[in-house]
Amino acid sequence: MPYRRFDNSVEGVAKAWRQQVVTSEAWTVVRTAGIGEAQSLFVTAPNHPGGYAKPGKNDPPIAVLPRAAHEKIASDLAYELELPVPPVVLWVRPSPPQGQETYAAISTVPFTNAQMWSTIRQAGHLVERLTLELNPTCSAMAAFDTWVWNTDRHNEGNLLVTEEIVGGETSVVRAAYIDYAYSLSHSWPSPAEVQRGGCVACYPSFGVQPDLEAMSATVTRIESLPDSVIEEVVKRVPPEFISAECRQRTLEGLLARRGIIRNALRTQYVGLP
Amino acid sequence: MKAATRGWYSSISYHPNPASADTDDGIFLGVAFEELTPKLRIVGLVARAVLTEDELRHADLLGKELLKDPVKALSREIELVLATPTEPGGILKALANKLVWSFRFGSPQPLAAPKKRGEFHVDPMQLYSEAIQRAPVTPAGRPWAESPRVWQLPDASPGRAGRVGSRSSRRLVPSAG
Repeated sequence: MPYRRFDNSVEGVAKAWRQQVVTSEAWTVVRTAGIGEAQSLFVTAPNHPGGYAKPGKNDPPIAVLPRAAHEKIASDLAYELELPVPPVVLWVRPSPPQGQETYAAISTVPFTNAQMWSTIRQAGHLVERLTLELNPTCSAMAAFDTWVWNTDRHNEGNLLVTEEIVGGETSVVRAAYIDYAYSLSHSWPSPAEVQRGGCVACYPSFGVQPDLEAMSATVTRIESLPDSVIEEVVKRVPPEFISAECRQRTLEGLLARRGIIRNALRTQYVGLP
Repeated sequence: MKAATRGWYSSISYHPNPASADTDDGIFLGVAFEELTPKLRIVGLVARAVLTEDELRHADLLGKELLKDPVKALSREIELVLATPTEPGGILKALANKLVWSFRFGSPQPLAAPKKRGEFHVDPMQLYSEAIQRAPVTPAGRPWAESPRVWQLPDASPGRAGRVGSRSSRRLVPSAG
């Protein structure tokens, strides 16, 4: 079952951005999205439908938390694994106002009618209907989130869903997992943390048995991802976006954790093959 | 010294295409407000009862389901934010921060100063009327000018609700600041 169900136009962007690290297009800030600490920017460029640029603010600094680099690395790895993280490209924002970040990441809008999971969750009847549909995807994403140790899933806005009719009759549910700023090197402040046990649970948790086949298949794909691919994804991020220390921790963590995530998931999901 | 009343409001809209650069392409849904009196924190919502078929044409299946009853969907969002601690005056800000995709709360705008210090004075229906005048006109005109939907929270004060009629709702919670 495909977990990544973006339409062809988004996959076209994904393919192009997987080959690209920093965008050379002329992006324009159209509006802010949200206010205060959570502020991101809605940006557009010629021949592109638009995306959200983050972080908007430059605090904390990149040396402490390379948010844009984390977003790009997670997106590229998800692309390799065919998991539903929207395409991301890095962006050097020209002449940002004081307090705003120069080195940002642009995440493309994954689909129209992007409904936040928190909105769906409030409508009980929709949750029931979507449970079986999303269960394989969220089970697969638990493996990915455990690998990159994304602990930001408590924010229910970090899962977007839509359901649309395709081909006249069949409805398709699409999901997009977003926001990997607080993962990777942020989660591994020391070498010991890389070996962290436990797992990131399925999100959302439906109170039903996760799809262990989907979870296992994703773990297998992560385990099989060549060192060279991981190294290429991490090492090509320019130094302006990530410090040498954070890059090293990210790389070591991704390489080492491939070998421990299956057992880490088994601590919660007994019966995982 | 008597504490002053302060208030803010946000226009609420639905955007079938979040990737659109046109900020005026949203469907107007209603208006929410927050007001702080010396003793109470008042949160209110006035929203449309129903959307037209033409407006729903570009909504996905989930959007159509949620927009069957905009007041219900929006009140749930407000309740969710109310369930977590927010600074006085911060509820609309939290909603504007959180909802940036298809459902959107606009950046909170200050309400006009109260006539008397400390006296609650917002008229939600007037606020709604003013908001629809600012909303962009669609090819179908202003279908939202119809009467907005009744919604009454169980703990709303009957006396205060009576002051603005039965077509709005508000929640009264103790003011922390």
